[in-house]
Amino acid sequence: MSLVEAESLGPVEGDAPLVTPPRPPHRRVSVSLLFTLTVLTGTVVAIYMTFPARHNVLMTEAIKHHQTSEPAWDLTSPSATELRAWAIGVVGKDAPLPGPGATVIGARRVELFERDAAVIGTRIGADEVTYLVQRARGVAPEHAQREEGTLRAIEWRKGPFTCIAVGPAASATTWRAAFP
Amino acid sequence: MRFGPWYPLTAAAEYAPAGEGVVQLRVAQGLIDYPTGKSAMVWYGHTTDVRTVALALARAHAGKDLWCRHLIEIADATDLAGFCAKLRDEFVRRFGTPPVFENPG
Repeated sequence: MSLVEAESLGPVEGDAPLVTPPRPPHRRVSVSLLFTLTVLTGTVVAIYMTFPARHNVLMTEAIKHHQTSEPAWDLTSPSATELRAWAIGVVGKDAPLPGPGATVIGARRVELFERDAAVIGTRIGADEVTYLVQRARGVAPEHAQREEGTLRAIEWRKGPFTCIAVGPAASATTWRAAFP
Repeated sequence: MRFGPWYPLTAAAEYAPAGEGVVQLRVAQGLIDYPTGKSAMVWYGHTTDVRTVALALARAHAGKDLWCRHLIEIADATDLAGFCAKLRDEFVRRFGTPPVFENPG
């Protein structure tokens, strides 16, 4: 008759304890590094998948407005003072506006990324050029451009503002000079 | 020829007339510091369509407490652009800078 049956599944008093060897230090480091890299890469990929690149969306919007055949302007052919007073309300003081080389056809307020942007239609020489300006948020590229068919969209930073102009690719150098 | 009564810019749809005119905007309360004085005025503008400009400015400055008024009883031959330029020049002379909505910097 056994009086110690209850201990048959566990360690028996007096036995030597089972000691597993420690993991080698370099293995612990490599597992930790792999885990950290996986988390970091996953986070970065998730951010890129969730939030589209801001400048790409702004450029796309600017191109879309440029391609609108009959845009509904809030102001049609505004004077320089009208445009300035309007732009201060839409995007704030100091917003870079088209220079004297551009004839302003119209101006319209749009909302992008839950903040206002000014879309301004201009004529520069024989070219119609659409200009979009918005107060920049976060890190925006200093300069970017995209060709779409015969059009070229150019984006640049001016102080706290992101500016985009869209016009014929062939004369881009000429019309770009009309903007600050 | 004189300026009519002030009205909230948000009520421009009700009060601003279509057609050429001169518009004046001011803050509803308080004064703005200018280099040589204080004034409530923020903008003088000659426009070919008072109503369109007032409505566009109301949308652009939504949420700001601004008042507006425009010229009334205008004689036919009046040079409105010249009149507006004189108003603005007088403002610059008194306050040392153009009204704040005209000032890019």
